[in-house]
Amino acid sequence: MVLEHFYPEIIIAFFAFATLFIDITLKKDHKDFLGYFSLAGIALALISVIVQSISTMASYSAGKEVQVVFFNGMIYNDIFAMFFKVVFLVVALFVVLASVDYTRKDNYKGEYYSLILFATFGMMLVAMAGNLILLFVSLELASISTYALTAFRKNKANTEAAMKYFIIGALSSGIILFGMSILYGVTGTTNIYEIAKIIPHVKDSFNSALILSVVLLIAGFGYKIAAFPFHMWAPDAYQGAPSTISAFLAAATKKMGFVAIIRILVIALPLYVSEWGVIFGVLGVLTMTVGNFSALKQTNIKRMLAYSSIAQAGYIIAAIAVISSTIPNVKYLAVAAALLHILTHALMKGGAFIAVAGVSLLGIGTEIKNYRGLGKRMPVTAMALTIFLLSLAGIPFFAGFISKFLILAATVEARGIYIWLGIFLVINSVVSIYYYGRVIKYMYFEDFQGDKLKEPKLIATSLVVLAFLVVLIGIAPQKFVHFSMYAAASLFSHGHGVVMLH
Amino acid sequence: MIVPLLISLPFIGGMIGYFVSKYDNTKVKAIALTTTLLELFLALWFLSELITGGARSQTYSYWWMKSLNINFTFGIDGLTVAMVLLTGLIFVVSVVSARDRIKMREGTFYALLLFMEAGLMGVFTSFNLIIFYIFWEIVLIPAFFLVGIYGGKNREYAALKLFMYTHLGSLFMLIGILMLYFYTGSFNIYEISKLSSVISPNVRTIIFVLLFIGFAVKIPLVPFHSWLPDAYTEAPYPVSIVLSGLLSKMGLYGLIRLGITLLPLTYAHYAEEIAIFGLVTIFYAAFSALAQKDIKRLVAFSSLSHVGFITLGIASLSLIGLNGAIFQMVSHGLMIALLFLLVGLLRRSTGTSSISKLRGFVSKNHFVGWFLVFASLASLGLPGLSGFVGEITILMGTYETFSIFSFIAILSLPLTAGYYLWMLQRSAFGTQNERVKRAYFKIKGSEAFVVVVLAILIACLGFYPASLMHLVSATSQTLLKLTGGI
Repeated sequence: MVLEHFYPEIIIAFFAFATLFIDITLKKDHKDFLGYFSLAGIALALISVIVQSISTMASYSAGKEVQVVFFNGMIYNDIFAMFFKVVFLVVALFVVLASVDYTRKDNYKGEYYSLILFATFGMMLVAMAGNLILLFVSLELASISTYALTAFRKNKANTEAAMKYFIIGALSSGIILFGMSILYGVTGTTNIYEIAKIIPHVKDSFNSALILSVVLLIAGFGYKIAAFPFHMWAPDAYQGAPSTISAFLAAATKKMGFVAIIRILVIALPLYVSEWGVIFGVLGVLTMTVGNFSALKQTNIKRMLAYSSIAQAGYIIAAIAVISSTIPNVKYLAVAAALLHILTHALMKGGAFIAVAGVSLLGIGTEIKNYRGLGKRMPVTAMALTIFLLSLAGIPFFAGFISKFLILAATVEARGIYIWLGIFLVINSVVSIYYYGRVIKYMYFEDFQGDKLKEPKLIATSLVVLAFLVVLIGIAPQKFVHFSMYAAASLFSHGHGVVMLH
Repeated sequence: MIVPLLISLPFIGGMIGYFVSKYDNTKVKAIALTTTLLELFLALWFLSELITGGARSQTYSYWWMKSLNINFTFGIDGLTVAMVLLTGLIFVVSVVSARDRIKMREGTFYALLLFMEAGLMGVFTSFNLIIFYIFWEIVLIPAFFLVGIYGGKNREYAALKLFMYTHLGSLFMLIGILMLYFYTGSFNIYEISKLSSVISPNVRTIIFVLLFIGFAVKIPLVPFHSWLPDAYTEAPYPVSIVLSGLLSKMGLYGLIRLGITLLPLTYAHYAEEIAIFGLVTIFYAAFSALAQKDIKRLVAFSSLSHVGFITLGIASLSLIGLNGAIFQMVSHGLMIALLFLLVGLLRRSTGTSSISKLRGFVSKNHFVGWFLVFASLASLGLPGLSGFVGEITILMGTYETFSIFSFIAILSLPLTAGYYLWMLQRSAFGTQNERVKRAYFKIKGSEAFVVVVLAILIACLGFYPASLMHLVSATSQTLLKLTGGI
């Protein structure tokens, strides 16, 4: 039966609609139930994805063929897709858990949770899409849900952020669609894997059209992942949005752009590999540098985290650039490194924004100087935030080190000009310590007299679990590295089994 | 198997102490002291394991990240044992000296201190480069918080500077390690050592420079030293003891273990340049020490000067010089711990560490006074004490390879004697000034005990240096064989 491969998607879609219907029947005081209800849905879906990926990996290692291509090449449910689904679902899980505390006093909870579920559903489809049309439609499903979520509280800051985010998002979707339509015009198919087969036989006279399409795609997805010079919207949107939604945007929605980029560029346009390799190398270095140096002077923690998120996207882009290396096996390592950093960044950045949400819930502002003495006032939140920040800075025994280490390893192994990517990464990491360290300094080093506050329970719980995961990946990375290596291998196997590297 | 225990014991002790301090703040000191004493006991056991297992090095491995061929590899040899013993001892001193000094958030303080001990033990016992690097970086986090939370007035600046400076150095080292991996296919120190001669000399030079930057920042060698005066003086005394006694040893240890073992030929090629770095550091630090008005800063710069001496010994690539350098690493750790401990006691009793305000403290309190004189004399290299043995062997070793450098280094000895004696002459003796007269000295039994033990160890090593020399000599010989020196 085909459907058994899509339990996670079916569960999420079902819960998204069910949340809307249950919302109608509930009294106003009982709406918190919706949060727990969608939490259950996400947890179920997460468990089934994890079971699915473990069994798929097991059949591959046993040498068995697993069905990956569905609906005539519309969907590629490979380990690469499962990896991203795990990322999206984990983020959604913790965002919803934190939202129960965060939105306790808000209206429209039914819409809030169902929009989160719809957005997650869209992102999961993007991860699996083997067809440009499906990819675009699910991209829009996810994007439009998040535009509405950004304006959730309808105050001035929310509305402004949502407006900026919506205009830029709609524009970039248009650019992406334009790029896709040129690609279709040249090759005559919308299936990504078909395009890969046809491109080598395309007449030379179409080359300029193909280059135009590559440029448009990079620009369009560049907006989605907030790469330099398309990054200006991100700090405004993340600052204005409700903090839990900032977590969702930075940790999950942004990663959706990376799935699409990796699928389209790596699979469909391998012949143009060297060209986008250079473009991505330059983009990566500029993105991380601009992100880090802009983060240095921020006084608002949400803007600081937004710029840090831009910088981290730069590291991932640098890893994607390494895929174009011609040295054998480096591309596997590069994709695995990019994937692992996407996972760890989702955990760290999601955690950091959830911590900000918890702090602002207690009436403490989002300026960094308001965090003075937080180590004494909110010990759990401050400790978790410290772990996330240290991990973002790439300190060993935290998750961020492992993934940054893999990226650095990929750039060094690719040798030649790629090593410069690694050197820029190193210099940028050191710069970033200053602004991460400054928050820690305010929380712990500065004297402050103030009462100990009562930390919101569910937010504290999600922070503790996220911090535990960050430390777990840092101490025992083997399973996670293995998963990302498998995902990378399945990406290049075009749906026919997996070539493992050793 | 003892190494995992050696690393995890302080970590577990720190955790227990932290959680106990949430309920009962009085027990955390006892827990910390017990942990460090147990750790010292384990270090002694470690020594016995080396002696019973013969002088050859042993290694033990556990998988960590199989996909990238990284495993935990731990080993024992003379150098490791010397450093582990020193670490165990210094942390006991540090915990004892913290008893009356740290009054706020004690649970966190001792937890961080013990985490640092765990990290240091990891650095000194790992034989896999990535694991080595990870422990190397781990040490930095507690140091950052210890300086930042418990330090003096300028602590935030000092903590961030320490963090960023040494982290930058470490990351260059990481690139060097990764390059070594991709050229040799291994992270294991011994395997790389066998394979590294295949790499072309130019690439080896690049790798060596990258590694060297990491060590030079940590040691620190002039001109990579600018974090040192801030960090050493802003840190509270128990932390200063660890920073100067052990953090600098990490760099020196790295220079010996990684520099010589991994790239012996490149090391031999650039030994002269490294020796010049050492010489510059010796003189820069000695002149800076001469200009200090504060005893704590003076001790900090004198520590820097000693470290320059040790670097010179490591660069000499002669058996006696390398033995002397390792000997002096231990001896310097003991002397600097004693000095900081006593200056800390002085500061606690009189409220100042400024040289001009401390006139006549010897006649006020004989115990602190005379032991400070003793420690200063040991540090300036009085024959019969351990500092003398270290310096003279390093100078003899340097004479074998770079005789001119040896003569230049001798010129620094009067300077060293100068700043210590001048400091003593300005402060220790003479009529007591107001501040010292009003001071109230109250020395705890445990503090007095530690002071006496350190002093006895310094004297013992001075009278019978062969005990330690024997331990490290086999290791030095193995290392020098790699460079073609013997």
